[in-house]
Amino acid sequence: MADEQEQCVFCNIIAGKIPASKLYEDDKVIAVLDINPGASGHLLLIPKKHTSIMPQLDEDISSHMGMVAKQLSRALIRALNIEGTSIFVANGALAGQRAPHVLMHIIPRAKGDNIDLDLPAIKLDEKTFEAVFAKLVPGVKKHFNFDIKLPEKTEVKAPVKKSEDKPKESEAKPESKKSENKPDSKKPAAKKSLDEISEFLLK
Amino acid sequence: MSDCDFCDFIKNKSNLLFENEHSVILLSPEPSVPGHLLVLPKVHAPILESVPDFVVADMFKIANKASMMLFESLGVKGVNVLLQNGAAAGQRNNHVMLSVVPRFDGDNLSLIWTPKPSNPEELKGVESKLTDEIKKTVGLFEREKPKPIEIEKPKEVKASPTDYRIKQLRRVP
Repeated sequence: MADEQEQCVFCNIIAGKIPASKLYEDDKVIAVLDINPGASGHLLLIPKKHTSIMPQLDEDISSHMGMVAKQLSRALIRALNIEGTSIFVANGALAGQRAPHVLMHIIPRAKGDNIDLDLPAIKLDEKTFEAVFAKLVPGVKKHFNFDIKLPEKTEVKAPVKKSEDKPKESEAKPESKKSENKPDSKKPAAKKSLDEISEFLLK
Repeated sequence: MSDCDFCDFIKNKSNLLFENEHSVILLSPEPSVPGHLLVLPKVHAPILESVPDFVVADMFKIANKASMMLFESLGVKGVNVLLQNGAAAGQRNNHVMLSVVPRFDGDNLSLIWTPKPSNPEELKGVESKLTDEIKKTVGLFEREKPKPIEIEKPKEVKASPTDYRIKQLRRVP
């Protein structure tokens, strides 16, 4: 074992050097109970091969983990009589990853539990939306060898619901940054960081 | 128009970044951050259990590649992959989807929970509840049925009466 693996808690769990409640094992993965669960029955699905971040996983392992996660999730729902599950992977510290070994969390859920895995929708202006789409086109070509027909205006549905009252022509014309910086009356804080994100993406 | 917005998206190729036989990637029409991707099965399925195993496998393979793409194309430092299975888990649409979410400094997502330290007895209790069900139901995967192979009909051999192969057959022994 390489040094990194020797020190890896999860490699040691896989090797049986650290005890764990192992509930499933095959040639590619194991599933154990998280000892610090978000909810009772919280499972960790762990690839046996030491891999620090999900994009480095071999394709057959990531797809295998998906199938196992689906079946484990079903087993949790049936055996624990719960309302749902979250299947969650964090890639990178910014996304909440703490251990240098890929983990897939399968977390039993109940209404009103204290697990914040919501994905609230934001308002995104059409310009940012289209810019992001255009930025992803070469990536899709590279990673999926897939040619996207560049979206025509009518094909991309930007999520923004335009307000009922149409802007006057004089206001609508200049497509400057000013329109992006218009404060959102509902969520001023969210809008501010969204502007920063948009700026980061568009630069 | 169908009853499912996402089936319409798939059919009309709206927001479509990628598609193969089983799955699509859409740029989310209800993003949590710019660049929020959705991996969906092409077949309409309201809950994860109803998506065939091999399609789930395809979705996770795609999500994995898509997260790689987000790191590279958007220059982000973190990506979350999340499947919200059931209303209690935050599922809002009746079409199963896997979110691939790029993370930005100062975005307004938390995607976190408070871990509760547990004691060995608790864990043993949960383990005993789960062991049988998992042994019974996890590990046999539904593979894609092979497509029927079209067999070409053998071409009839047209032979003229003078063909030596036929002449030979007509010869009375």
